[in-house]
Amino acid sequence: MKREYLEFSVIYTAFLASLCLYYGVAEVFASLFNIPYLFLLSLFAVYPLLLWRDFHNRILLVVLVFLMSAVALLLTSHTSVPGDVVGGLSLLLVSALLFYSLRDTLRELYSGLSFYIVGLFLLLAIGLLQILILLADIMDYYILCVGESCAPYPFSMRPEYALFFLGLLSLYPFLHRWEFRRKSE
Amino acid sequence: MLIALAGNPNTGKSTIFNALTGSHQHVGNWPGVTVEKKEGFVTYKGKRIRVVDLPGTYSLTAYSLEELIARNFILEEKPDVVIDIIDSTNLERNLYLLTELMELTDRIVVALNMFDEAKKKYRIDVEKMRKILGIPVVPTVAIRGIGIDELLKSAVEGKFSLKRPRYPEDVERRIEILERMLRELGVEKERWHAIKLLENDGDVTKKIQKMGARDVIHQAEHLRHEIEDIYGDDIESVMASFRYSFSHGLFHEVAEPLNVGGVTITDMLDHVVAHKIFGIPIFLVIMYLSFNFVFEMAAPFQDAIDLIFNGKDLAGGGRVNGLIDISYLWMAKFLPAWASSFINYGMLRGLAAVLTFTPIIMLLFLILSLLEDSGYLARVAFLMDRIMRKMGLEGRGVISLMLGLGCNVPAIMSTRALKNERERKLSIALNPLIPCGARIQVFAFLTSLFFRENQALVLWSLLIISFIVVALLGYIYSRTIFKGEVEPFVMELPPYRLPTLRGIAIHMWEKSEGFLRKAGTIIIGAAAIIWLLAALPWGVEYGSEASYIGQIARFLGPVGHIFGLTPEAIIALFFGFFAKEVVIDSFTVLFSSKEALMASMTSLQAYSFLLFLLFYTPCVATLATIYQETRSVRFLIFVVIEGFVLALLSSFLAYNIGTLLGVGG
Repeated sequence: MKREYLEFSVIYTAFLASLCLYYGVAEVFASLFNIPYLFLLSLFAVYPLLLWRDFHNRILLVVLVFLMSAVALLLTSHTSVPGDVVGGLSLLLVSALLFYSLRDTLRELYSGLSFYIVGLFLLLAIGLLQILILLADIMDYYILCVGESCAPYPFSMRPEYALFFLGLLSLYPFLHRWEFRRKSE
Repeated sequence: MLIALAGNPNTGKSTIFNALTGSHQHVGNWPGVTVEKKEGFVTYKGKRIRVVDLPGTYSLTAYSLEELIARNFILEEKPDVVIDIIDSTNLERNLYLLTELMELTDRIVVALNMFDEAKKKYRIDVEKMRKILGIPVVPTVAIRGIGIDELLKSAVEGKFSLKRPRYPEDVERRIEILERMLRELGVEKERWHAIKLLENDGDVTKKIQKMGARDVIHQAEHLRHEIEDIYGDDIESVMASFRYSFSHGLFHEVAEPLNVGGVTITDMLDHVVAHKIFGIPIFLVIMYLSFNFVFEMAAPFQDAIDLIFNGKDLAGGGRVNGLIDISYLWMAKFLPAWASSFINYGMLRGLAAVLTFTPIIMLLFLILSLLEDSGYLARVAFLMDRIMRKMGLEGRGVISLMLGLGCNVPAIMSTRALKNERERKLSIALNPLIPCGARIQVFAFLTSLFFRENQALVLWSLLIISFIVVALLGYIYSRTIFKGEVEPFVMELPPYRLPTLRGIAIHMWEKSEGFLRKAGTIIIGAAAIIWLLAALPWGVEYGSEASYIGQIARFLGPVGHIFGLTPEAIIALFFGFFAKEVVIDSFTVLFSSKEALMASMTSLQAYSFLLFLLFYTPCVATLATIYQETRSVRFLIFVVIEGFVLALLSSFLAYNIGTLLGVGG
């Protein structure tokens, strides 16, 4: 059962990493120019297939990988992305950390879990920060509206909000605490 | 000569004792107890040396008989040298006792025993360990007699310049208070006694009580509670965690594990955040998130304070009066109009400016306390050590430079963590060249007017120019006026922990309080002076050409021409000397509207003004802090001249090259 959790979480992490990759690139370039078919970057969610040999449950692998990549494609082609160069670079870093963690996590090596934890924490921190900024923005908007009649706050959905909640789900395997080992052992 | 052998149990202490003394030994009991005492003699170059084997202990607390015997022997018999025998195969764990011995005596020789076995687990840099600790370190394999002669030679002829571990500043300050009191009592080894009193060590407390120094005991109790409050844990755990941090840091500095089991969360996080490739990008992202948090979260609080004090003009006409307007109208009933205007639009507006700035300062220190208390800042220092060394600084220097992005005052104060005076001065000299939060506010204000399309790009260019200049000057200074070697040192790596709310709040308040008090007085004073200069001589229109401020502007006109600086810009720079935020105030006083300000300068002139502002003299509060920290007028003058030279040079180059190329006209 534990092994299935592990394999599922690796696929889910690839899904998260591919979303971060797409949104990262999109945020970096949004202010400069449009890249057509950018959403195809979310196809990186199929990366776990390249680790075919390390999976024990291969039927689960194929089903989940295609399900996740479909969800990723759907999500990315239906969101609007703000232009935020440094914000985008942050997401690209998270993406790199998560992708880097996959192989070793699957092999139950501690370096995989290390990258997984740091990537996940960083993603949650970015998401939480954007949610706090949203709250501060709403507060600021209404403070500046004092004495005037203002339209309701113009809410726009940043991808980081969704990524935060999707990332929360990834905490489960971390809290589940598998026993990992050093690479050299 | 007397040599004492200390060490953890089962480190090969007895084997070394036997190897040193051969058959010249005597086995008995320590006085009054049944703990075995072994002593013997060895002759070195005709000198007869007494060697005493102390009981094996893991630490030097007063909990066990063995620990008491070991430390009392060192305290009372005052051995000429203590040899700490370390089981190198369990290096990190054994280093804890060494940290305690380093508090007790200066003359220690470290014997890295079982070195052959250890080499299978780690790559140990013995030379680096010697340099870092400042004492002899000798690898030994006692059972084969390897290294014994060198050990004896080091004990007799070795050089000792021990670099004692230091606790965090808030603990060190409290240790110093007790040290002073104990010195007055005539207690020897006062630092060790002070630490033990703070730790509530029963044996030492009794000893001081016997001397009738009740006030010392009370003071220690009070200081102990303060530390416990700050760190949210009992004193023993707090002090032990500092020593473990030192051991962990020392271990990371000198040993590279080849194959070790038992991975902790701290190990895992360190594996990534101190990673060669990912470490720095992670640090940059965390910094970006931190500054984003500070500025974005502070905005509603700043706007609320601004609204409360200054009120606002409504889009459809009309006005919401702020406290200042209300107070002005009320005072005008019984005071002359000029007096009411001075108090409200001069003094109170200055106070409002400080209060508007408060949320940023508090949040900045909140986030820095959070990063510090969680243990992350120590990793940053560890990570940046290699880069900083090229600039002639140790890794901790980066923390003070980073703090400079918030405010140069606490940043300069934080250089106290740098133990080397040369590095400290170098860090202080470079710090004012890092744009503080106040300068960044002015950049944001002006770029939003003059570079609306490329605001982020212009801000980034200023930051990058600043970092490049700091790196270049650091490189040049460390090879010329601040010449010297960067001393190797132990970077303490405390385990990660969730900081307590109380601890963060105390740290945040300790750092913000003094700054706010100073900034408050200076900004209020500067605002009042600007008001007076804009309102005087009597009868002129406020801020007009006939006012003093207008006359100064006319006079300074030709001076700034070759640097692209307008007379109004020079006046704003002059007032920026008091506090950089006042630059915005000055422009607001000098120009009736934003449009008028935008018409007064070309974008090229605005950029050369921003470059000047980036480097020219730090504000009064920063200069006062530099003097307070260095007690040197010459150094102060050096910092001011350095800033002006860079400012003049950069704005001159930017304006004239830009003019030649026909950019931004």
